[in-house]
Amino acid sequence: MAKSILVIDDSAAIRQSISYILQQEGYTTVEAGDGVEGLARLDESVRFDCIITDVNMPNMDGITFIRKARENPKFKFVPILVLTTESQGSKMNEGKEAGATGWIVKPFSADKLLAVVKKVAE
Amino acid sequence: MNEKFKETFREEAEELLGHLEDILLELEEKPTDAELVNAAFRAIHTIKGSAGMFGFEKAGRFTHDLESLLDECRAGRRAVDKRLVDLSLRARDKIRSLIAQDDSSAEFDAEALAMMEEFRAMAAESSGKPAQEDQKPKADETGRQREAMATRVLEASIADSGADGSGLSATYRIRFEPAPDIFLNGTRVLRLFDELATLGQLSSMPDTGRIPMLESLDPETCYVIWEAILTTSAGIDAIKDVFIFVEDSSKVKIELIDDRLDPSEGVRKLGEILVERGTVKPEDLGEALRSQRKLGEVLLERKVVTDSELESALVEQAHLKKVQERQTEGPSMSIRVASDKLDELVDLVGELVTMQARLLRTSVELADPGLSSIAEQVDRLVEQLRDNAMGMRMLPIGSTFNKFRRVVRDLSAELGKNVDLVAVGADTELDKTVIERLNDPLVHIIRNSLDHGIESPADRVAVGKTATGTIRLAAEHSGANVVISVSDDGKGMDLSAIRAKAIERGILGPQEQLSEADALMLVFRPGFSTARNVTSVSGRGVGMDVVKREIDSLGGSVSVESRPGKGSTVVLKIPLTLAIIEGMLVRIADEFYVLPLSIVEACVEANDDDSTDGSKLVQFRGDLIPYIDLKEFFSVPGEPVENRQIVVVNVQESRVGLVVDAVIGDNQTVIKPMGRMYRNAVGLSGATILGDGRVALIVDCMKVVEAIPERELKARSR
Amino acid sequence: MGLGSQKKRVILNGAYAIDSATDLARELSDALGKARIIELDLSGVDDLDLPALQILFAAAASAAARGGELQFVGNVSVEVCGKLVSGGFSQPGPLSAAEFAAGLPGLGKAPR
Repeated sequence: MAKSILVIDDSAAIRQSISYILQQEGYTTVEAGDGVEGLARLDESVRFDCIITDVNMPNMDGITFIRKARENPKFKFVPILVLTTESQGSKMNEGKEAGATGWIVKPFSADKLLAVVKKVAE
Repeated sequence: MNEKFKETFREEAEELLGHLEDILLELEEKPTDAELVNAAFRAIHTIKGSAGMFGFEKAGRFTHDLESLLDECRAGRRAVDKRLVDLSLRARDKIRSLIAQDDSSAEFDAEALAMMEEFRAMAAESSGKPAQEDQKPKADETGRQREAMATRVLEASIADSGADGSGLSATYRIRFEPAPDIFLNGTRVLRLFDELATLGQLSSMPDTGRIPMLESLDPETCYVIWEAILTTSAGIDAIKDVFIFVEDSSKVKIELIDDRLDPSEGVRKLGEILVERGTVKPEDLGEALRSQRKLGEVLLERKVVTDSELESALVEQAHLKKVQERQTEGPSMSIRVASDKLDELVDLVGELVTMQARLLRTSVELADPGLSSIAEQVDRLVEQLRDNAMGMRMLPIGSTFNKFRRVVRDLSAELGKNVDLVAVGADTELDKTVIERLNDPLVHIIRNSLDHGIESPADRVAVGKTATGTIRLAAEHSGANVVISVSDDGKGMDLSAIRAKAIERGILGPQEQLSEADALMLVFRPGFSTARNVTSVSGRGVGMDVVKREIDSLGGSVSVESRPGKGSTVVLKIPLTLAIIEGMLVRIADEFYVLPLSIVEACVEANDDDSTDGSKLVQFRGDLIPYIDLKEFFSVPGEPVENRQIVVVNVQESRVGLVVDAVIGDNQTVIKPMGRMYRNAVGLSGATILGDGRVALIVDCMKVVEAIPERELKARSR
Repeated sequence: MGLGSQKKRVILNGAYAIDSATDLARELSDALGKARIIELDLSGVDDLDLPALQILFAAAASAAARGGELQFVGNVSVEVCGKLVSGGFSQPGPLSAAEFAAGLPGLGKAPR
């Protein structure tokens, strides 16, 4: 069964490019533009094999999203990857404390993205 | 992906920058509104984060310092004032023009540089530090770079120490104590070990002694800790990478135990290992050793070590022993034999195989049950003997791999590129003559990857790759073949450039349509070379066609895969040995010939109508292909026969029909070289003896096909 | 029920990862309350992740402490074994129940 991944980022360009890369590798993807939308996607879904989320987003940021996602028993243990930039070392820690599994540093190449997703979701 | 989403990014940035303008103007009215400051920061942050992804590095770099400045405001360390809003507005316009220009090569103009200077100055003011202090992270950066270089050097020395033939790898001891709550963030601990196992030879020793009774167990807590021993050529950074997401909360300790296992040192003593690990004090060891009993028992009895400590030391010892044995192939167990003696043995076995076939036949004819049973048993023995004899000529391909390290090192220095060579499957065994003949083609493929595949460090960084490229050399067994692949993570092959060049060189008609795979194969055609400038590397007069010819002559095949921007892979499929081939036995008049089965595509009935116009072309699967009458070619006397067969072979990417009188069938062919008198016979590569004692000649299809005029070969596939 | 029934068989089916760990611990804990010897049938399992494995170790230690035993029955599949090899918990499968149990280091020993 194809693995399904939820991609949350307020930048449509980033979101779509991540989806595109993942789909090329046979993953199915669902997109959301912020944390609130992300939670809505979680509510209506049975499972995700991995969640990739940006940190800084309007309405609900990624850190809050992770906390709330972890409160949902369905997604308590799902691998969650945080998208960060190098300048945000503190965000990695914050993300980890909120319950993220790992992170992807922007900008990233397709290979890097796939390597990290494989690492946590395979 | 850059191109595909560049436009989306541009539109999005345009929208965000418009939004940013509104926010900044509002902020001027309400400088204390935290939500507005936040929104401004977010807009800049999003642009900065995405810009680099879609090839707008320059805009990304420009935005970086503005982002830091806004972050200061967000954190309340700096008040929003008119100067800040002014600067931000000007910066916003600049970002817009940087994105519109879409030019990442040129330097920043004076205006941009001045603004960046101002961002930094303002951020420094707010943090109360002089602007000079702000350089500090840069100093850190150089420190980090130096550190990175130091590890590089360390790795290089590990790799070098392996290059003398004692092996390519180092052995590490890894102690991993997962954070108790590691399960809670979605980490699957066992997968980390799977990842380690992909790096090399892994022995893992879990310590389960901390798992409590079921009554007091928290099912979501991790209690197991590990010691693992890993022998790998991938370097310590690759090991660290495995643990990158868990190293902050879990304890990970990686030590280099041995960067070179010297067989003359013998297997490590258990005591040595225990002392080195700090499990046992040297004085305790001395005492325990005096007791003349098994060291482990004594230490356990005296409670100097625990069960699991002892066990993990034993695992380490066993691991080291295994690695050592593999590397040295057991020095006391092997003897040197002159290779011509081995060749002679294989020759004799070949004859034995032939005689055995006769024995089997005779026993069937005589229908003597006693004889049949003996013949069958001898058959099994001969088969084993043959495999054994062939096996003795097998050598691990690793010895060749080591030579390539040097090639890569020298060439990458010459070209100003950073390239790592990763070798996988160095212990894959292959007939020694095959290994020798593989050397040149592999060197050529690697050169090609280095020269055309891997980009310059600057280009790599610009597209978001690591500055150092990787060439991966891998060998593995696959049935009666060895598959060797050379892959790089460079820019891939440029299909349109290949097509253009092929058309320019007259290899491809301007209108000719080819599948992607076929187009890639064009690089192997004679006269093709994609090197626009003749560099000292690929301008040495040989093209990839030489590679193809050499691999073909080994009875192997070549294929290429390429992913634009990601790299390309050349795959060689080589038969394990040259001494025996799978052949197709055919008859021409009273003579027998063998065609290598690997190049045979089909057998079709010859239709006399085909050749009436004298063009020597025949219909095959909708194409016209040239054919050669082997009877004519080899001047075999004999009457014309009806119902002749055409064997369609694929040589150098061309289909050619070979006309024979009859196709007999498959044949395991033991190749015998021909005597001196026949060495120069065109179109024959050897001979073999058939089960009934008759001789069959092995056809060198490539030479036969070369006799066909070029224009007829071109007539194919329209 | 006391020691009236000496043996109880527990049959596991499907995937046992972190999300089912609490349920598995409860199931084995219930079984241990009813019998001294637990026969654990792993033949229908297709994934046994570390959290589940820890529970087996814990249950084995608890059973031993009460003078009973956690016994494995049935074969353990290629998939299950395969996922445990790198971590040092198994050989490549399929393994018989006895082979599998023998490869679990420290199984049935009291915790330190």
